[in-house]
Amino acid sequence: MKLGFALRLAVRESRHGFRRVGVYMAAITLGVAALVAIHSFRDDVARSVQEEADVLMGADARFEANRPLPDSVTHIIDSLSAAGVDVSRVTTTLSMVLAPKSGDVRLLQVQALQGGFPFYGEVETTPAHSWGRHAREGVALVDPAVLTQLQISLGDTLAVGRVRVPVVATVENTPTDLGYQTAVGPRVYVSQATLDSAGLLGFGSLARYAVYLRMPDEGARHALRQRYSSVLRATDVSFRLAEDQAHRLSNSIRFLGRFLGLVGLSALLLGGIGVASAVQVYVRERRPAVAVLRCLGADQWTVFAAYVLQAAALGLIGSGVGVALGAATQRVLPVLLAGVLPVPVSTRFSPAAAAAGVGIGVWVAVVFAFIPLLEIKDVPPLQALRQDFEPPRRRRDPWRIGAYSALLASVFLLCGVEAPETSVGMVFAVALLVTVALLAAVAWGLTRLTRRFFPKRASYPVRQGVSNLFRPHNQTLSVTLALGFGAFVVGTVMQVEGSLLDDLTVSFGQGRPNVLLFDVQKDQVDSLRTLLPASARAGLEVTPLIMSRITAIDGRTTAELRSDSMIPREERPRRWALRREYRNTYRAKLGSAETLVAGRWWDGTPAAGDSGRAVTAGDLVPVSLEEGIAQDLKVGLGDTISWNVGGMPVESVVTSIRHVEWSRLQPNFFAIFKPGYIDDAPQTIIMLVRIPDPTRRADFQRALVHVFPNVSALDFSRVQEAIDSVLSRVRTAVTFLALFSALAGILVLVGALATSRLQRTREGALLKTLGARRTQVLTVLFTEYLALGTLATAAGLALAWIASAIMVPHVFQVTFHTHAVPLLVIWGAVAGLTLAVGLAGSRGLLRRPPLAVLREVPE
Amino acid sequence: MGRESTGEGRAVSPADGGARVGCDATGGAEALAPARVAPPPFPPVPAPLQAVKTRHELRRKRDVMMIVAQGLEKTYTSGGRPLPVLRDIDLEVAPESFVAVVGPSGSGKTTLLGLLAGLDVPSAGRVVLDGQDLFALTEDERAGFRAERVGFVFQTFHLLPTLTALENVLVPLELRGGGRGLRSRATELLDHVGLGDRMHHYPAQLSGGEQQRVALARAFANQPRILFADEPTGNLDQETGAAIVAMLGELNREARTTLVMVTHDHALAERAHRIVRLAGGCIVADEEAGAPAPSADGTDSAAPRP
Repeated sequence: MKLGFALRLAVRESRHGFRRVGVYMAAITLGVAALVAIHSFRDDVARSVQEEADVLMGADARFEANRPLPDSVTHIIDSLSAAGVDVSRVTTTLSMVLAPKSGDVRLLQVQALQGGFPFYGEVETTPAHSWGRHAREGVALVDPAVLTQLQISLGDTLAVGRVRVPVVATVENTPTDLGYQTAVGPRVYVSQATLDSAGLLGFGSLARYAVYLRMPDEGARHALRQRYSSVLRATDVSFRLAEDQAHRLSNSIRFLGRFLGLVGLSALLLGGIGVASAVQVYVRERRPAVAVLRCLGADQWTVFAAYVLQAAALGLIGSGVGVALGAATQRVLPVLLAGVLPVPVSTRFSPAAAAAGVGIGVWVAVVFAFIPLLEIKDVPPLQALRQDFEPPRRRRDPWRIGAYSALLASVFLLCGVEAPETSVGMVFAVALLVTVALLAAVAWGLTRLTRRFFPKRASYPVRQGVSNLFRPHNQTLSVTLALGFGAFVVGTVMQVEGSLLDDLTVSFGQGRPNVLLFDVQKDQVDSLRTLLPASARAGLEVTPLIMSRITAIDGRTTAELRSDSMIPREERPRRWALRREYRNTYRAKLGSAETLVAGRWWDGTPAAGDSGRAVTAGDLVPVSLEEGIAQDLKVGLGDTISWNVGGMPVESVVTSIRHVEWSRLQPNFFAIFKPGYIDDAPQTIIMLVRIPDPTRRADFQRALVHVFPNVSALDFSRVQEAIDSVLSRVRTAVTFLALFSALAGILVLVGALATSRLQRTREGALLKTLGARRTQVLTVLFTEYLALGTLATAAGLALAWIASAIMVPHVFQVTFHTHAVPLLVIWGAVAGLTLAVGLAGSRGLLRRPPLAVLREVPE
Repeated sequence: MGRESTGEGRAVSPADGGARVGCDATGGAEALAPARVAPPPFPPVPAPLQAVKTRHELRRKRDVMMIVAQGLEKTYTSGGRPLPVLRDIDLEVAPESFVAVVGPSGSGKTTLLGLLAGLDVPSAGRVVLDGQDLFALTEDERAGFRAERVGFVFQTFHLLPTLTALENVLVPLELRGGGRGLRSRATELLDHVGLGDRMHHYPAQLSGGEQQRVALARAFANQPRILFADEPTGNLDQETGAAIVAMLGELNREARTTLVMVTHDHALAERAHRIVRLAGGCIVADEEAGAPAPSADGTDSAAPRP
């Protein structure tokens, strides 16, 4: 092989080849752009989160629990404080807040502050520098949304529980804010003393108790953890350093980024398919030149190398442009995802992401071009003398097999690297390959079927148009792949989105309770019932919550179970399951989202199948476990669990195992006790009510806050709005990236139709010479493009439908619903686009006189 | 690479000449009847047309002859049936001679040219080119051999459309390698064919005659020992064709190249030293033509190589 010659030849050839293959390289460009944007964005987020680690937490370390901190931890904090560490307490709870002036009521987050939190970062307020006044002066600050929701202005008072506080400022931006944390409701900021006197914190109230520390000495922070880890392990208090939190955050964002990465990758692979089909056409054109080079004494590998170099160079250029485009796109993503991201994300050009983009782009270009390029090395020199000479094809060329293997391996490798988990990547790669294989099969079947079954009576132009689908060197395969794949990606995104939104609507919608009352005390249930509108009383669901902890399983204490290293790993109960605080209930009936999988229900109803074994409880309390937690605790039917229920020991025996559909929005429980045993244990009540009329709903909430200030009401329609806004941002970002795939598909389409233009032009000229009228030639083209566009898109959409039907229940655990309208819209749009692109490309055909076309020597 | 195999047949050893199907016996219906009966009017120049009998004799011929083809056969399969295109061709060409191969279309001229140049593999028989048994080489070794010693001129010019005239002439020079001076040699050659002012034009910007002149310059660029020309005037008008042929003859004389040209232009064939007529895949005549043969003692006739 003569590399020098190959290089020179590549440079000279590419001066002309670029224009032809350029449009395909634009598809590579799009793929690389998407990937670079996503990679850089991931880097940006990770860097921003790390840089802002202390600002993100607002402190260097934090103790946190969902009950008041136990004495053991309070002692630690006191001694730290005495040693000069800055300490600040933040307690957050939910409460109904009333605006006496307007009479409006809303469920808001009440955040009580004592001390100088946040220690890092600036809280922006209007008027400026008001942060901290609430802690010192007993006034309130609010999120701006509070003013609009309660229709008040600065200077008005709010009733929070039993106290009234004046609102003196709004909080525009807190450095520690996470968009979805405000989903439950905007915040009211008060002092710790105000919260205490408001009387909001009853037994079992939903609240978070946090203590923030500033201890700038990094060594001291880590020492703290080591020193007190044994104390902390005995409690539910979590201790976290700022950098831990940043790390966890950037991990979860990286996960999202990687899902986006797969969407980008499909755009790139689509570009690869485009490159393969372009190179195939290019190679066909170059065959005579290659034969001459072989006559002149170039060996097969030299010529082959020259063309591989061209593919690599084109890949390099395509990827280079892609990097630039990606760097621009990188700036768009934080804007699209604003509110979902934990910190303001600063964008910075990432050389690593750019290098990875170029590397992947060139690799994809070369690996996809390689297979059609192999034909170059088999061009016989004799073809220079006899153009019609076709050498017998070798069935099993090891190089061809090697090239296909390399392609497959690359797809798997890229998917594996891009995906959040290798297994997800492998599934994704298999799904991609199956899709491509099915689309190819569809293209093949399409040509066969139309040839076989197309009505012979159809008019000549229509028949000619259809028969063009299977003429020699047709573009049916590459157009089907391009359109089908693009339609597949966009269609799947739409179907999945549609089903997810449906699920939310079902959860919140027709006939479902739409107000959740919580923190209800047991003695308030009856009088609260009378407060409800009459129509709502019948459907009221009352569920007690009993806080419990596990103390022992089958007589072995949790401490033993946790420390006994003799228990084999697979039989050892999961640590979190032993330590967590359970919110259990007691109830007579099985819920609508529950099915028994083993044992018998209280009334003796057995589980389906032959697993309905009866367990005699004796004088123990019968308990029903959810199947997942039973697995994590390594318990089964007949095992005994000892609980600490509000200080009271309860011995229970597992008499049934339930399957629970957690995605259904209703109170579900790990453990349900049989009624009649622990009904008097300390408990709080949650109630689900349906009040369809919005005015009545508002009236009820207003009355509620007057009569029962401790009870909170969550209006699901507000929750839905909050979830919708987060979802719509994520959706916009995903759709934005799916658009890259769609665009790449269109580019491949344009390129595919452009390459067959010469052939079409000659054919049209021939038809005109033989006496065809303009309209007839147009009908031929129209039929061909219409058939191609509609059939290829239909195939892609059908596959999208199948993929969503599989993916939605299994990956997202949501019921699948067909969304026909978006599919039909895509179908129409893509078919129309194909027609437009095809006819636009053929307009020269009709304008030029036939002779001029026919006399052109084909290159 | 070894991907070319001689497949349908190996080189026939000189001793089994009798086993071959001779042209005289099975000329086939497509062979022209008058040509079949007409014996060569003159003894073939410069060597008698007969099978080489001994290995020693072959070696001698190798040394003396520029081209030796023995028992050359080519059969294609068409629609499942074998279709013989060349049958039992024996041919020897002396150094520096100019041989025209003529015959009606379908007579196998181009196939013969392809086999002599090692562009295709025969079904049977062998070709020794400038002392080298072509089909003892692999495909890529044959390519290397062509780069060193063989030049081509084609009917449709076959300039590489993406390269300028100068770059087209540079191709064989660069393929052979050899460092500096390539460009000046290419320029010189283009000057010589009268295209000194069109060096940076692309083929599409040149007329047919100009393109073929570039092709001539390219063919002589690596100072080949043998030049194969396939209907070099077939795509040109008469006047231009004559100019090209004159130029070809001149270059050939200067470079002392052995020239084998396929043509069906009789006027052009008359300029050769020798005319080989093909019909139905057989050599039906082999005669001296108008032009005088070079002094053919055959021992030191090779052009001195730089």
